[in-house]
Amino acid sequence: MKERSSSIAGTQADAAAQDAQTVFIQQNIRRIFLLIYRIVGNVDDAQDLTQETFIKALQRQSQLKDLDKAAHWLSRIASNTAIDHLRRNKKVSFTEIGEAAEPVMIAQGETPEQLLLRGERRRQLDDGLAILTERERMALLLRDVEDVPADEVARQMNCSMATVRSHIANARIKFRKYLETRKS
Amino acid sequence: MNSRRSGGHPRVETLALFARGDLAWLERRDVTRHVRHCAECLHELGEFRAVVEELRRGASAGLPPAVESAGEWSRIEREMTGNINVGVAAGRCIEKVGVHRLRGWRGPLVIAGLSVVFIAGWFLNMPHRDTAQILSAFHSAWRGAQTRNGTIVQTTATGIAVRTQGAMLTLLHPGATDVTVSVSGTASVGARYVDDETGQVTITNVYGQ
Repeated sequence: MKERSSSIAGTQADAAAQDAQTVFIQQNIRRIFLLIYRIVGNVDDAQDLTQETFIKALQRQSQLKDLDKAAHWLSRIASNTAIDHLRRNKKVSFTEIGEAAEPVMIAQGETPEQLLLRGERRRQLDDGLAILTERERMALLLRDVEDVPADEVARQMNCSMATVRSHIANARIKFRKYLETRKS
Repeated sequence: MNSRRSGGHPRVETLALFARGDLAWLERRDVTRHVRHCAECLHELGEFRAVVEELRRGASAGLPPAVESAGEWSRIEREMTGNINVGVAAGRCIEKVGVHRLRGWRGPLVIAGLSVVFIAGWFLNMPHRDTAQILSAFHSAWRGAQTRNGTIVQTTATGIAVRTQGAMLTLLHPGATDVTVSVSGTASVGARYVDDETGQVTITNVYGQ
C-alpha cells in the first residue's frame, strides 16, 4: 500500500515536471528561434539549433538556481549553440531571407497598412544585419535586441570587453549608415 | 584608444557606445560633460538611440516570412516541441543506463583508476621534503610496531628480564635486599643493590634495542 502511494506521488511529480517543461518551452521557443534565426540566417538551421538549445537547457536545468534569470540563461545557451554552428560551418548565407516569398497573411486586428509596415521593418532589420560581420551581428543582437549587458556579451562570445565594444560600436555605425542610405 | 576627434568632440565610436551606456566609467564621465554643452554630439547620440529603437522594432516585427504563413509557425512550433521532449526523455534514459552500468564492475574499476591517479599525482606534485617526512613517519610507525612485537625490557621480583622473539633472558640478583630499580626514557632498566654474601655493591643496566 505504501509502495503504491509513493508510486502515485512519483507519477504526479513527473506529470508536474512535464507540465513545467512544456510551459517553459512555450514561453521561450519563439524568442529563441528568432534570436538563432537572426544569427544563422536560415529557418532550417534555426529550427535544429532551437531544439538543440532547449534540450541542452532542460538537461542542465539543475544548474539554474534563479528562475528570474532563466531567459538570459537560455539566450546564452542559444547564442553559444549558434556560435558553435557558425564555427563548424564557417560560412553563413543570408540570401534565403531576401529570396523567400512573402506570404500575404494578416494577423487578427491588423490593417493592410500595418501589415505592410511590419513587413518593411522586418526586411529592414534582415537587410541591415546582412551587411554586418558575423561577430558584429551577434554582438548587436545580444546587446540591443536581447538587452544582454556588454560584459555578459563578451563572456558569451568568449572575447575581451574591448573587442566586444569595438564590435558593438562598428555594428551600430554600420546599421545607422544603412538606415540613412535606405531613407535617402 | 584615443576617444577624441578633431574639435574636441568624442569619436563617433565613442558616441555609439555611449548611446547605451557601454563605455567605461571614466570615458562615460568625459562624454557626459561634453554632450551637455555640444548640440552636435547630442544630435549624434539621438541618431544612435534611434538606430537601437529601429532594431528593436524590427526584431519585434514578427517571424521570418518563410514561417509566418497560416499554420506554418504553429506546425514548426509543434514539431520542435515534440522533438525537444523526445530529446530530453532520451537523455534521461541514457543517464539512467549510465548509472546502472557504474553500479556493476565499472564502479570499482573507476575508483581504482582514480586512486592510482591520486597517488601518482600526490607523489609527483608534493614537495620532496614533505613526501620524505610522510614516508619517514610511516617508517617510524612500522618500526614501533615491530619493536612492540620484538624486544621488551622489564623488572621482575628476581631480576631484570629481556624478552625478544618469544625468548627471555633474566639477569638475576638473588638474595639481594634493598634493590633500587630505575627505568629511563632511553629504554633501559637499571638495578643497584648490596650483595649479602660479599658485601659488594652491584649495578646492573640493561638496554633494550
